[in-house]
Amino acid sequence: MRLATLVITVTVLFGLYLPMLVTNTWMYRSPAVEAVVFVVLAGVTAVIGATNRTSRVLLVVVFVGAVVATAAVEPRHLVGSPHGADDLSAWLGVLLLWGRPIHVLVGYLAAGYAVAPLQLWSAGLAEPEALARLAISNFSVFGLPFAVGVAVSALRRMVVTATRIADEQERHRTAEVMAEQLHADRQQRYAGLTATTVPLLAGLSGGGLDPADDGVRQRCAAEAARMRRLLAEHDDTPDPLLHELRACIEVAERRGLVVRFAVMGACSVPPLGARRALTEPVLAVLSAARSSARVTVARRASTVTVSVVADAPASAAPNEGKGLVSVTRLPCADRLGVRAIWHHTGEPA
Amino acid sequence: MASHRGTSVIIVDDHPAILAGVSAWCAAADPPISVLGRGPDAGAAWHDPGRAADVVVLDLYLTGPGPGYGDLRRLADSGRPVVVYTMREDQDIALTCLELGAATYLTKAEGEAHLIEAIRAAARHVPYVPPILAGAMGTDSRSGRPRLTPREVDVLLEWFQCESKDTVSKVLNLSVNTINCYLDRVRIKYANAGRPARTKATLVARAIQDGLVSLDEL
Repeated sequence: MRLATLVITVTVLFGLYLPMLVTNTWMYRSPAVEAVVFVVLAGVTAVIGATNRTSRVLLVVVFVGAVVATAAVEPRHLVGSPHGADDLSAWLGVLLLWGRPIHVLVGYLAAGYAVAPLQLWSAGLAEPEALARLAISNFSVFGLPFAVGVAVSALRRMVVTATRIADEQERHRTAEVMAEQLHADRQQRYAGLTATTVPLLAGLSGGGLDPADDGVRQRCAAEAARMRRLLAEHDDTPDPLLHELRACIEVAERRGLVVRFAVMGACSVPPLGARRALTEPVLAVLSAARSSARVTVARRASTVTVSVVADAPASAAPNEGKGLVSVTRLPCADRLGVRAIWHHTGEPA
Repeated sequence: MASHRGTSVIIVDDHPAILAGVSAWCAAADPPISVLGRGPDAGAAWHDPGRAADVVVLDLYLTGPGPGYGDLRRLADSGRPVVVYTMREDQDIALTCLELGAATYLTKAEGEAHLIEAIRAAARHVPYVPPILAGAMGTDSRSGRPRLTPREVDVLLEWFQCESKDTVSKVLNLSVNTINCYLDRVRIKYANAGRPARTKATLVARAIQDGLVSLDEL
């Protein structure tokens, strides 16, 4: 749209202004001044075309140029079409006020519209008929740029609104995707609990499991720790493995267990699946421990090892295995010891 | 001198229960360790009667704002064996204490099982590596750390995790003597690294005399 306006301006410059300047020389008090104004306005047009910029200084130059060009015309020839400076200044005004509020352009065009009648009046030729003819001819000069300016302003408003609506829609879509993700996460967590927690709760509520039974209480302790770990998994923390282990230990300590927890080596963050596999043996052994336990984490460049040693019955030992994390029993004499190792590279331990 | 009159110790801790407890353990040890003095700050180790003690048991966190590294460094530089005895199970602090010349680094949670042996070892200028210190050395990733063999790292980590040399011996299929030998050699490597201190030099010299390490290995 700006390019189209620029094309119109250049056409006015060479197709209207230049022929008028050449053929109407006899109407001017000073043809030289008219020629200088033409050159200046042509220069401004070139600058706008080359730099695509808007500028207050250029706007003032254009307006002064139009005033000077009009002043250089014999006042009695003002009614008619003595030069194209008015047309050009109006179009340049549209270009130089591009993107500004419409009332600024209206003010500029109105000022341009008033120049010729004022000069006519100052020359003492302001008869009603002459003024009316001038008003009508000038209306065609300033009307078209005004219409273009209004159209540009309306289009800009529409673009702004459309952008805002598009942004809002994008936000809604993002929120929707996040909500879906959250829902999927929750379902996945619930699926994790259904295998162990739900049967336990069902057994307790149905009377099939006796809360006085040690085994049942041990299962309850383990499930409480699993749920606590599940909550801890969603906390924002720089060291999730330690955070989740502490969650498991906290549950055990609430039962009165004395737990010593020692961590050595720089922080490393195994993926969630590996963290669960690393904490699971700790959770199982702590749930069955009678009075004391020691949990250690040793982190080296290639491995993360989590060990637990506690006064728990051997029956509480988790299954040994070599999955994502390898789990082994420690040959402790009178205590239960279990170790889980995760390798950074994913190779079997 | 320790062999003539038994081992003596000065206990520096700002908690009266710790002072009383450590004194009781020393008295109950066989042969007993004589407590020459006890006090809430390191001054007790510099003045009589604490000045004559073979070993300083030093709580790293006394009344000051941070760890008492200054006290530790001055004692080590003057050749006094220091058993750092602290609540903190912190790798950086443990390794910094070794760097400054502590004989060993023992946490209060480990105290009952290890403190008496650690004091006796410090008095004889021989290494003593409790489990937390083993863990700190075995997972050390600092740039200036000594080079350890994979087997040495295995022993350190097993000792850190199991806290029982019998268990370590079963896991690694090594005798308890061999395990001790690995631990001591790692400790000497640490004594031979970093800034010099009189206690560190004594530890290394003693290890060479005992045939624990040869000059070539260092």
